[in-house]
Amino acid sequence: MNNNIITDNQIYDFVDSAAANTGRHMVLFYEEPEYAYEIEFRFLRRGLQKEQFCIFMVHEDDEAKIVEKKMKGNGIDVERFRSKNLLHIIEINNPMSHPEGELKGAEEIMTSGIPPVLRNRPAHIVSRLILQVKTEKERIANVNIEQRFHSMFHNLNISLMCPYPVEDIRSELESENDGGARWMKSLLCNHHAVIYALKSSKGIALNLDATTS
Amino acid sequence: LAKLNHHHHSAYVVDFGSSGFAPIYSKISENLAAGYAVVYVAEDDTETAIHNMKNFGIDADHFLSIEALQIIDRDSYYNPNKELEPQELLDQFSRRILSRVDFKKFKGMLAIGSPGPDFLQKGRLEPFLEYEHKIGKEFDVPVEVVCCYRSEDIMQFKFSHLVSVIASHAYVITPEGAEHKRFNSDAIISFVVAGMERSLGANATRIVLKTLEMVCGMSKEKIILQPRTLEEALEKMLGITSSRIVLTGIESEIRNALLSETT
Repeated sequence: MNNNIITDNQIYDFVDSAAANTGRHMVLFYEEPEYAYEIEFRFLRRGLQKEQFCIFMVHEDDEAKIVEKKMKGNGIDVERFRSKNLLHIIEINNPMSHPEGELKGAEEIMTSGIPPVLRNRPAHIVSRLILQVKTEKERIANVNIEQRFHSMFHNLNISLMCPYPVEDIRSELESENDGGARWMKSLLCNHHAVIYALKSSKGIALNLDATTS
Repeated sequence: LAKLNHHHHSAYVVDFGSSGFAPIYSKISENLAAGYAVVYVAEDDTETAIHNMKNFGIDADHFLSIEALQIIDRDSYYNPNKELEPQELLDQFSRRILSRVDFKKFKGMLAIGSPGPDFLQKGRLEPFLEYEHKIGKEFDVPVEVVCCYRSEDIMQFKFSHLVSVIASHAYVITPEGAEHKRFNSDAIISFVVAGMERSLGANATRIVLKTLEMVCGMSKEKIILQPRTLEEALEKMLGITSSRIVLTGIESEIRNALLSETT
C-alpha cells in the first residue's frame, strides 16, 4: 500500500503558491470536471481574497449559469464579488471562427472581449479559448494560441489557468516514445507549470519553467 | 565459480563495523587458493594486515614470498591528505597494481581495495566515482578489480552517487559476499520507479516520468548516465522538500538492493 505523502495536498498547496503572484501560465489536465472546478475555484478564490480581478471564461451561455452555480456551491460569494466588480464570468467565441485566423480571434477576446476596466490590471483567469481539440487543425490552432500567449506572458500582469480534459492527451500520455507525444509536449513547453488532477489519486503539480531547456 | 569471475570490476559492500576485514580476507584466501595473485590495498598498517591475515588462516608469508600476495599501504595509495585527481589515481592503478603481477605465473589477479574511513568526504566522492567509472566494467585480461564500500558510506550516499556506484561496476557483491548481483539499466530504472511510487503513487509517478522525458529529455539512459540531472530536475519541478522525499524513497530502494542478500 502506497502512502502518497506528497500527493495528498500537493495540488492545493501548489495552487495557493501560484495564486500568490501573477505571471504564472498553468495547464490543468483533469479526469473529473468536478475536481477541475475545485482547483480552478481555489485559484480564483485566492485572487479574490487579495481583491484582484478574477475572470472565468466560458463558451456557452448555459455554461456561465452552471459555473456560477458551482462557484456558489464551492463557497464563493458570487454576488458580493460581482458587486465589487472583482468576479467576471465572460462568454467568449471560438477564436478559430475569426476570418483572420485563431491568433486574431484570441487577440480580440483579450481586447474587446474583456471589459476595459479589467485590462492591464492584475488578474487571475481561468480560460480555454478553443474548447474542442479533437482534430489536427484544432490542435495546431490551440498550440498557436498557447505559444503566442506564453511568449508575451512576461508583459501580462495576469495568472492564467488553462484546463484540458486528460482525454485530450491520454494517448500521448500513455505512448511509449516521446516522438508520439508532440501535442502534449507542445502544451507542456508553453506553460510555466502543469497540474495533473487525477481521479485515482490526488494528482500532482509540477513547475516547468525552470526545467524547460 | 561465480565468485571467481575475473575480467570484471565489482563493488563489494562491506559491513566493516560488524565483521572488520574478514569478508575481504575470505575473498583473498579464496583467490590465492585458486591460483590467482592478489594485490590488496585496504589497510594503513601492512604489518598488522599480515598479522591479521595469518590469524584468519592465510599463509601470508608463503604467498608474499612467491609474490602471489602483495600488500600496498592504503594511505600511500589513497592519500587522505591530497586532493583526488581521477586520472592520477587511474595512472597509479596501472603503475602500482596492474603492472605488479606476472600473468605467466598466475591464472589472473584479484585487485581488492578500499580507501580509509571518511576518505569519501570533503569533495573526494565525485572524483572517486569518476575514477571508478574510468576503470571500466569489463577487462580483456583475467583481472577482477573489487572496490570495497563501507555499508555506512552506502547509507550516506545520495541518489546520484548510488547510481554511479552501480553503473560503474559489472557486479555488486552484497555484504555477506555470497552473491554477485548484476544490476542492468532496467534494474536501476525499476529502483527509480519503485522509490517514486513510495511517495507519489503509481499514476503520479508515471506522469512525472513522462513529463521529465518530454520537458527535460530525461530518458532512461540519461537517468543512469547523468543521475545528477534527475536530482536537479525533480528539485525544480517539485521543490526542495518534496523532491528530497521522492529521492529518499529511491535511495532506500537502491540501498536495500545493495545491502541485502535478496533483491
